[in-house]
Amino acid sequence: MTEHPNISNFEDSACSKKSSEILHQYLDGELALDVQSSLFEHMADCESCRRMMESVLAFRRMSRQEFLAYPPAADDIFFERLAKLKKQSDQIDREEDRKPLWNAKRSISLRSALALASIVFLIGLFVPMPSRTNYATALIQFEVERVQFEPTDSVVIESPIYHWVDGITVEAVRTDSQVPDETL
Amino acid sequence: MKDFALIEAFQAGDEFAFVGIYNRYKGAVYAFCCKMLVDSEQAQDVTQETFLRIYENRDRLLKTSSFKSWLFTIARNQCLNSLRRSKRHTGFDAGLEYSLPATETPYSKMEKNEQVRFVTQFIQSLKPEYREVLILREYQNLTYEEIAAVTRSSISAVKSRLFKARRKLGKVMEPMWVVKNPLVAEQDRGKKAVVQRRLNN
Repeated sequence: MTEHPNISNFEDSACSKKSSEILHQYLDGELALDVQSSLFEHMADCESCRRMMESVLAFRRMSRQEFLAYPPAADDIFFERLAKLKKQSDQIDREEDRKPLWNAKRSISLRSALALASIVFLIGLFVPMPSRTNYATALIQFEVERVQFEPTDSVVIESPIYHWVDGITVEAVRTDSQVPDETL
Repeated sequence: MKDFALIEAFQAGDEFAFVGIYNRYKGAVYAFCCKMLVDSEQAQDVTQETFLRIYENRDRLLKTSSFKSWLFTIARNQCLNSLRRSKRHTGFDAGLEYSLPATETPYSKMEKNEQVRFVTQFIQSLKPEYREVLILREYQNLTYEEIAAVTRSSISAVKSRLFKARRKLGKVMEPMWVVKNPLVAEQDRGKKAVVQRRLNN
């Protein structure tokens, strides 16, 4: 079956890409007002653009024929699901705590951890260690300075001495003579 | 109550605010899912899943201006997952009988059901990446920027997909624009076959 000669092919039309883009912008309400007049002038001569516009407008009219209402029964199902979700989130999940440690999730696998440890060990074998003396001298790097002070006359000031026995406070004056412990 | 106040209240833990958001947007999300999936039951399920995700991820809500984009991003991802699961994204089913809503004059004889069927079949014939931009533009009235945010693509990519989808629409609807004359009237019966062949190609 052959197509009617009136049917033009949109892809093969002489209409430039720019004009086509302007037409789509107009259809989407994103074309500036000052450009619209030039678009209409172009459409007066361009049949393919007119048809394209008519097609989109017809599609819009047809798409508005269908009213898609969310069924009220679905609301009940949704709120049931929501309640279930809230209940689940309120419960503290202790399953992870109850699992044995050897089943715990590891960020890296055991094999890769062992490989890494062996690599570190091998590197450690070949790294030269500092000798014991060098290590000690490296640690002691400060100098010791001895200062000799001249002897001065010291004065002893007699002052009360306080003795604290369990629960009892005794005040006594310090004297030269020794006070026997029994008097206290 | 404005979106901003609703979202703030929802983030503060107000359950009624979430119900308000749900009631405000459930129709739009459902319509989007219906057109994306071409299955009302699946669309209901995906709509519910979308709002449950919103409830769970309320902390990620930052700006009111981007709420609509965020909402449709979640809905779109859910739809794509659903399409992937059901493998509906293979394109137009060649076994479907296509019905062009034009018999004698372009619009006068079109019935409502025919129009709806035509729109559904056309949308179904598009690949998901073209389908989503067309639905977001024609049904949800989203701007190019918003569609780019939802589909995580550039504005130029959105425009390109939208224009290609419309070009296909133009090709499909070409037989409608034939000037009526007796010679053409004889070919009316063959128009459906022409449209069917173009869609299949």
